[in-house]
Amino acid sequence: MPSTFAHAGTAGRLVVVAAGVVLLGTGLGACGSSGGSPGAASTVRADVPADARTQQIAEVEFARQCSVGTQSFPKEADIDADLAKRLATAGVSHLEWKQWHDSLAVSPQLVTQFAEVGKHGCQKT
Amino acid sequence: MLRTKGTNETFPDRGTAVHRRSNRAGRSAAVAVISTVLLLLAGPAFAIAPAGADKSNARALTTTTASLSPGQSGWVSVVWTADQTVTDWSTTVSAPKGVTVTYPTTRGGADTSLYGSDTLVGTTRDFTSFKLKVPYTQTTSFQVVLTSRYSVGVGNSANGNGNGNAGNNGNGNGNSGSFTTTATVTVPVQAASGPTFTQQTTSLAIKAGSSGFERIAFTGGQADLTDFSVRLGDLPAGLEVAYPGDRASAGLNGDQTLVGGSADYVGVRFIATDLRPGTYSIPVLISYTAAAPQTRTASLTLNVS
Repeated sequence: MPSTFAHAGTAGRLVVVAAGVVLLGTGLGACGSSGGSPGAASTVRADVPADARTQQIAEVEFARQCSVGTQSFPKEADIDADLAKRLATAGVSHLEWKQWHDSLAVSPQLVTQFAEVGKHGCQKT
Repeated sequence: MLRTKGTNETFPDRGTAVHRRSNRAGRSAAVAVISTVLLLLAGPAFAIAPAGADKSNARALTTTTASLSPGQSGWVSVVWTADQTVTDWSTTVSAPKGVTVTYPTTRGGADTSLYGSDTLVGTTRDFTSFKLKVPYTQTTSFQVVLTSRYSVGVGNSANGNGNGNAGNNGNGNGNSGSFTTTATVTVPVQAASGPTFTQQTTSLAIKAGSSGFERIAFTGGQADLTDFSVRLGDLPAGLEVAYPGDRASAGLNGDQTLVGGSADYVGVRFIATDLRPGTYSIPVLISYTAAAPQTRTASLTLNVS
């Protein structure tokens, strides 16, 4: 499974830089560009409703984020393997997880649900 | 909400500092011209000019990473959150002298980003990972400083936490631009425990008269062992061995280093053309460098049928 760390959006940054030049030249001081990876955009669904399945994915992700800060992995691929193991245990495919993750930015219900899952913080181990 | 009245404000309660490259719209035309010239001269570092204060409150939640031992390398992670959605996330890490930082290959090796994407959705979490290699001389905990750069754009209201700034872009009250936040995180260093390494393959079965390569597997302990090589000692009559590349010893398949916590193997060719069936105990001489070069002798049981 390929590592999912975000790829550097060189092209996106060039666009940002170009936009910055234009904006500065016109006296505007702001710019906005997500610069996300092209592949990620293809899987985004907006306004995904929260349901039991997304709840399950949110729980897997939150548990992973609670533990990842206290874990070290010998190899880079082990981080992906850790996610794969957690997803497999929960019966969730990597594609489901990826779509859920990519949809977070444009799906308020998923964000609210994710926040609800984590509202009590990480369990002490 | 983030307090960014100054250009460099520190939050001691969480070891996070936020730096704002200020450039408010509405300044004089002369300033705009100078800024433009600086932009063209200095490149991307100044090309992304923020319009206002960073209200994203992007910050690290992790104050202490997983512990590492002297000589160990490992991928550690820092979890981040923000009140508002930020994009184009890029993190670099500075570590004390002697501690090596490596970034994920997926981004070219110059920085790391968030795991799922380079966007941190407001009120959610994501994490950055990077590899630290702790030298054997580093026996006490140390700190690393993470500098994260990100963009705050307009229209960040998808998560219900939009602050209404979408329409403020360009009037000096907006919440967009490029910002950085830094976090100082402690990396505990604890003495390694357990075996230095484990020889997983302690017996092999071969046919009399055969000649072929066999694998002898090892699993690393906590710390990395560099220049890991294996050769066999006194051999029974009728047995010869050879190593890949006709070298004097066998190196690991994957690397010269047996990475702590990971498995690898060496290949040894057993030339048993004149070896009688039976069970033989063969010394295994294992050389490696931990804090200093070392050699250990183990054994391998060879079952010849």
